[in-house]
Amino acid sequence: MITSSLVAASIQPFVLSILASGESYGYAIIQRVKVLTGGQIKWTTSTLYPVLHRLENKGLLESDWRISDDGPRRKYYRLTTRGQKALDTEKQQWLDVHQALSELWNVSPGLLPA
Amino acid sequence: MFNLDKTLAAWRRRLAHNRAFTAEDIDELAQHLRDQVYDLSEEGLSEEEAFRKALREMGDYTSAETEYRKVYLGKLKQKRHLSSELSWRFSMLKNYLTITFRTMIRRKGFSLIHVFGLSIGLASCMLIGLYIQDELQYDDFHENADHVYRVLRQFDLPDLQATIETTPPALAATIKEQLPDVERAVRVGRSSPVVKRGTQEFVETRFLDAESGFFEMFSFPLQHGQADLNRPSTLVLSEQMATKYFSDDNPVGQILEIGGEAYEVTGVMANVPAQSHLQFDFVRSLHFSPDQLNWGFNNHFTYIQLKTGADQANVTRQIAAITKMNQPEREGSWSDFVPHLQPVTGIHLGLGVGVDISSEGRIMFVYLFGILAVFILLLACINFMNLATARSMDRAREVGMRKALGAQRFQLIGQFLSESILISVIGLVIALLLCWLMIPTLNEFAGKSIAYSTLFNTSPVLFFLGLALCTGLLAGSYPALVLSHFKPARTLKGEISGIRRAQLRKGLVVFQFALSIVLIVGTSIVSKQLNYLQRAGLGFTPDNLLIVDQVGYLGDKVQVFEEEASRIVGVEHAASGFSMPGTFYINSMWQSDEPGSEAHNLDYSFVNFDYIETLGIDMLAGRSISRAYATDSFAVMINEAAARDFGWSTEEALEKKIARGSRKYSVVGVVKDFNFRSLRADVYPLALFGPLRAPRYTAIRMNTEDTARTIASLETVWKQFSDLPFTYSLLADNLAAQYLSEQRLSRIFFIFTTLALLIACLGLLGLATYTAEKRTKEIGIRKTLGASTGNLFALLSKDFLKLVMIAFLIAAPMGFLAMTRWLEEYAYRVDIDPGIFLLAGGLAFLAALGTVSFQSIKAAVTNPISSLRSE
Repeated sequence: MITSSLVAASIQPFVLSILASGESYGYAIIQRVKVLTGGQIKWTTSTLYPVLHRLENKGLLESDWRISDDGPRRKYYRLTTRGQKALDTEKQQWLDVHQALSELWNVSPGLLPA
Repeated sequence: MFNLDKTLAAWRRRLAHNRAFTAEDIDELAQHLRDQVYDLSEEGLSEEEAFRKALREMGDYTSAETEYRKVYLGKLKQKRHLSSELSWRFSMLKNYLTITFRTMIRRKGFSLIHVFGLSIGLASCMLIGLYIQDELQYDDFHENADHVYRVLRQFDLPDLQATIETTPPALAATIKEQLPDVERAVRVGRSSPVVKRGTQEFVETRFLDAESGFFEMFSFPLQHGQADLNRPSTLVLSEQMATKYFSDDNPVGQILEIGGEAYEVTGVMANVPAQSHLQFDFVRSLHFSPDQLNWGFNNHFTYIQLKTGADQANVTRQIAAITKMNQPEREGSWSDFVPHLQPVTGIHLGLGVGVDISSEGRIMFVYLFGILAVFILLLACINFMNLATARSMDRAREVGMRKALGAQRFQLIGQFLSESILISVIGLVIALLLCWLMIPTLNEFAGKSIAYSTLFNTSPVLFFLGLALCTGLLAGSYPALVLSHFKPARTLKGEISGIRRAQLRKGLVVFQFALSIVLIVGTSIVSKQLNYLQRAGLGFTPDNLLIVDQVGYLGDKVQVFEEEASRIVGVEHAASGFSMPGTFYINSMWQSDEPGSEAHNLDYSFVNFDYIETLGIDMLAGRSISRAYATDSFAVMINEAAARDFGWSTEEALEKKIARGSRKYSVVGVVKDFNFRSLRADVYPLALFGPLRAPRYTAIRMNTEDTARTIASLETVWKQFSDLPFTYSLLADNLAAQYLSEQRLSRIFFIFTTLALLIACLGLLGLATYTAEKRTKEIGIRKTLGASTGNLFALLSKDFLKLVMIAFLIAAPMGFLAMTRWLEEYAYRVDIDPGIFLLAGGLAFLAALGTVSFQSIKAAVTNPISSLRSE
């Protein structure tokens, strides 16, 4: 069980990163994170959606309603240029922290982005 | 059969109640649910199970709300969402309005009383405000208002304390010459001559004699021609007089005959505004011949205009120096005065003491009414809040339900506040309407002519708007804050604590009824006293009695004037005197001639022969001073009160003498007490001496219906003796004028009494309603146990009537004390009849009973089953 503070801290980087690779909608994002973390992080609707909306307010995301491929009308989100910039900042910060901790734990710095 | 779409739709509707979620949000969440249900059913669950699981996984309701709302509020900070925010707010407001109207209509009677109570309070306050504003604005319209003063003579001596508005003619002349700080000084005199043009002949009382500078000092604009008061025998007319005497012709250059002499009209001025202390239609030029410029005879008003920057105190000192230098050496206090400068704007409200008793609106009234206005307003507002609170108790259930359905606290607060503010604003609008309608009545009652336009001056309207909003806010705050705070279950069950509130409310009702009772008592006694005064014996006959003023100018020809006057057809008697009933009397200490006797304070004056007969005073013993007795230059007539003071019976007094210093006077006659001052003062001990001092007045008793002709003849006779204007008044009119203010006071008292009682009943109604609601169940049970309607009625009403009793117990002694105090001012007074108190108490009781019975009967008659069932 990942602590709630870590979960909370990671929401934004997760969302931004997932959307960086393409637009998506709320439910799908939740499922993706579940898969990525092997079930360790399971976001609820009240966890994710407010965040999506807030990020949209801040101008990091854009949204529109789309008839999706499989039929129903959904609200899709995608990253804006500001969002991309925010993501870069976020990434850098996480990596800095990661590096420092890794040194402490003597773990080889592995998870560098592709 | 589980139907996903239907269930989702229901779920959506529920969520829609919650204002934190927009339609879009709901769509998003709904779709999320569908997706999840799909996935779960893929895993093998049934649709229903899948839905339930999905719903569970959706998470805690309230925290979701909170999160959404946080985001939502965050959105507010984004400018680009402002317009949608506004539209949201608007629809909220519309929602509140709809609810408010629905609530009001549902309880029409209550709402009507609720709103009206406030309206009446606001309207009375506004009307009084208008009255006060008008009073305070007198003479403000003059351009030089800040610099114009009237010079008064103040006497502050041991035997003479008075302030008199007339001044010697020489004063203005000297001031003009000697004082650089004075821009101008103008003498103004009043007269009532006969004005004639062709066949038209009238006695015009709105007449001024003024010297040049008058129209420069005062702002009475001229419409045609100009004022030429420098030239003798010129006249300025008012518009209405121009129409009266000249219809459509231009009066400028034409001649009017005034008091037998020809005057040329040089100008026409606009009608004098109501808010001027000087009310007149004619101004004629005033001139003084050299021997008229003396310091002795005081018959004109002196107005001075100071230069900007001049110091009032300084100028007063300078004038005092002048008068000190110029006072004639003669005995008596008339010359020993100190000048006092009265600002022209203060004349209407301020001093009315002295010889000229014509000042109408006194400052005392202004204060009194101001206090009353605040009072009534306070009562009305408190009532409004009380009723609002009482009514909100009924809404507790509604509130509970709303909360259960997901209403937010801030929504409830918003709703109650908007409701309450809305109602109070409606109340304000109605109040404005009421006020507008009542302005003519106010004008009639108060003798004013307030224009409709003054009602819409910005500042008072803003003030009242603010007041209405505040009242609404305060009234709504209690239910808003308290009710919205409760847990839904409790409010649904109807458990509201508020014992302290109830006690406060009861206390208020007692207070209101006590006040009403006091006012009823006051009104009855005041009107009773007034009626009495007007019918009471004055001790002399005021009808057909004309008093000629400024007879002193005739010098030693007064006697001849009297004789000539008596010869006129229509004149029965004529007698002069230094004082007349209602005018000024000298006051001093006198002793009897018995050694070691005490000194007594006596009013006294000097009268010519036939004075007693002319005035129609009763001579109880002895005789009137007459010219037949040479010794009568040391004779005096005293009244009963004086005799009593000295300890003599009426008969005994005839052998006595009174003395002051070395002078002794023999009492030759004792007259019955008559009201020589006004009915306000005690009948003072009075002594009347022979014509030892030049008289100021001549009393003329007429015995004809055609008084106008007689007066005209009198004026002609007067003209034979003096160039000065013939100044007179009818004693009956003077007396009536005195009572005018008392009459007005009693009328206004009456109105406020009714208002206070009305407001008290409204307060009681509120309380009764609230209590009745609370006790419906109790009543239901009692009915099923066999209580009759009568029993229940008594039960419910008992408590309220107890309150009225308490109010009576408080009010009765207060009323008694207050009335006794007030009546002490009057020499002749009515008794305070205990019946009045019973009447007042009874009236209040009946009013309360009427108010309460409506509620009590309604409650008593309700079907017990329905009241017990309402859970």
